[in-house]
Amino acid sequence: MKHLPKTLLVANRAEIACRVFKTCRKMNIRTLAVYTPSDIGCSRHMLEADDAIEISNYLSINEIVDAAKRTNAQAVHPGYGFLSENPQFADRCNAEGLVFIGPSGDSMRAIGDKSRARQTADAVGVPITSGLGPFTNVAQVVQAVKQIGLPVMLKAAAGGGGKGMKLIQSFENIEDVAEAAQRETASAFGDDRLIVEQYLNPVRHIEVQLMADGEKAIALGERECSLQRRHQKLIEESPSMAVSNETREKLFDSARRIAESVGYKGAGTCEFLVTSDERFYFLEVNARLQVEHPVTELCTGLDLVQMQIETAFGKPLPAQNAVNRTGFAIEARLCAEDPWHGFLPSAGRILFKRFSNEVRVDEGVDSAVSPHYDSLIAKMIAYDSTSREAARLKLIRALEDSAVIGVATNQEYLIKLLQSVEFQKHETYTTTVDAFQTAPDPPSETALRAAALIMRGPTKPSNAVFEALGTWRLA
Amino acid sequence: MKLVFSSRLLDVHLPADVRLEQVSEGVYKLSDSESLVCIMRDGVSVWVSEKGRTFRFDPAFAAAEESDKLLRAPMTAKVVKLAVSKGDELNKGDLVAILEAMKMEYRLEAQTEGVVAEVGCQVGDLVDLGQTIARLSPLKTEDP
Repeated sequence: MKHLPKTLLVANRAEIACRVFKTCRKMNIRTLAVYTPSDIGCSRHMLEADDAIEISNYLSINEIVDAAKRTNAQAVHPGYGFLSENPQFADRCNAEGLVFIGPSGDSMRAIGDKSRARQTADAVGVPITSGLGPFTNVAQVVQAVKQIGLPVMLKAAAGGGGKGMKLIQSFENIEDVAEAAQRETASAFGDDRLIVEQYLNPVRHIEVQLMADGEKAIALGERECSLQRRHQKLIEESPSMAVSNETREKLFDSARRIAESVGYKGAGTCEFLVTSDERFYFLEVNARLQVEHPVTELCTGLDLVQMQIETAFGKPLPAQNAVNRTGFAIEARLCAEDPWHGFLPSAGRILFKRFSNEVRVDEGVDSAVSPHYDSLIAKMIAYDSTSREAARLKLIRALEDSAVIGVATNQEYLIKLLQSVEFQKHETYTTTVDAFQTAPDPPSETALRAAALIMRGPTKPSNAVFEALGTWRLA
Repeated sequence: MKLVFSSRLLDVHLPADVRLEQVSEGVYKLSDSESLVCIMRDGVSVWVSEKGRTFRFDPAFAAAEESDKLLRAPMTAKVVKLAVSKGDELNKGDLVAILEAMKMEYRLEAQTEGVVAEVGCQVGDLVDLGQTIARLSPLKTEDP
């Protein structure tokens, strides 16, 4: 095993950068942030690092590598999104003598690229949906849709996060939709290739957290993330209540086989679509740490960032049977977006925020939500060792005890989703959020009175002030 | 007392003995209720968050008029500084006045560009909630 790094650069922002720094502090690793000027006041990550270097763009490989070399960083953690699944970045880091905390460029190409990942899965006998691509040309996309038959899903070949994903249910405007998907994926990943896949409904989204050392892979448990809007997850939980132990083991085994067949190294997630009768299809591999990794951390007691760093520096993985999973964890993503108006992102100043301390909260927003980046404000993750219901109630209470003022958020919507019959009975599918009918509550009498009292202002000094002053008097 | 929520004018009954007790910065409790509320002022608006629901309220006068042209006192307060006089040209964000209540200062800023058409108070005045501090008229534009 190589010596652990003395300094580690995180090529990311906000909560995930703060999350990685936290583990680095625990491991006595010096932390280096990179940040863009527009992120000052929006993200807090540069304030939490030991050192911070300004760059023009979180996608700028040259600037990030240069920052790492100038500060003698030995390792680079890419977080999620941005350059995390960019094989050129991984290759470049390794070529410059920096340890990239993640898979090699080659295994990213084999597994991070969606169309090649499907071939990889197929080759090791894991079921896949019918699909075609990648395509760079809209006419080819339309041809592929005709071949597979409606409905289909268009996806970015290069990455996840819902960017470039479009459900196609008719041939009307199909060229426009495909062009829009191409623009989205080009701006998100610098790569406009699309793939076309058969669309299954109703299905659940269930994924397996993997950790691998380049030869062997272990499964750290599954997460069900069926509750999504715009193909971005809102609520994630582990274990999934929808699969039997037998299916769960099959999912673990499929995920390990895929990872091992490409010599995968580091943390990764193998995503599946699972039907009501527990048939499953490989969806994609996310060749990085995922947003929802805390769910697995709470159920296993493992620190996935620490495992990532140690694995990258050659520490052996624990044995599969040494991984113990207990209890129930549920994560809600609190985002600056308006769920009552098409989940439109809502950037702007945050006047006030307060989070419950009864659950784990991962956050990294400063005093404003940037219009340039993701709308995630905080992840709130509840755990209970005995029941899913207790974890659910804990998370609802935690959301009710938290407040974000100044921008529209999905806080109330998350509470309503967690309270829904669908979630309580775990009848959750990838289309559940789209079909979920709900409206915001009107202000309570308490809220109205509080507003009126503040708005009216002090008509005279209140008794409370005099009581607080005691025998003192106003000067 | 009347206030505006979601473009609707609501009438709020305020029992005489109900008070707001501050628990910590931004966090309050109504004297007749157990639950905590978080409250922040934002210009003339007031945000209240309770049980994971967040609402923005505006004072009643905001319902019917061009509130960005009319700068009103957002609270009963003392005028500690007046930064403009009649005829001044203002950009959005320029300071108009500083008000003080309960030892907290509130900066009243122009919500839009304009010319000061009227100033409704003097330094040292005690102004009521909703009282006009200044009124702006549009900047004159050159005819093409």
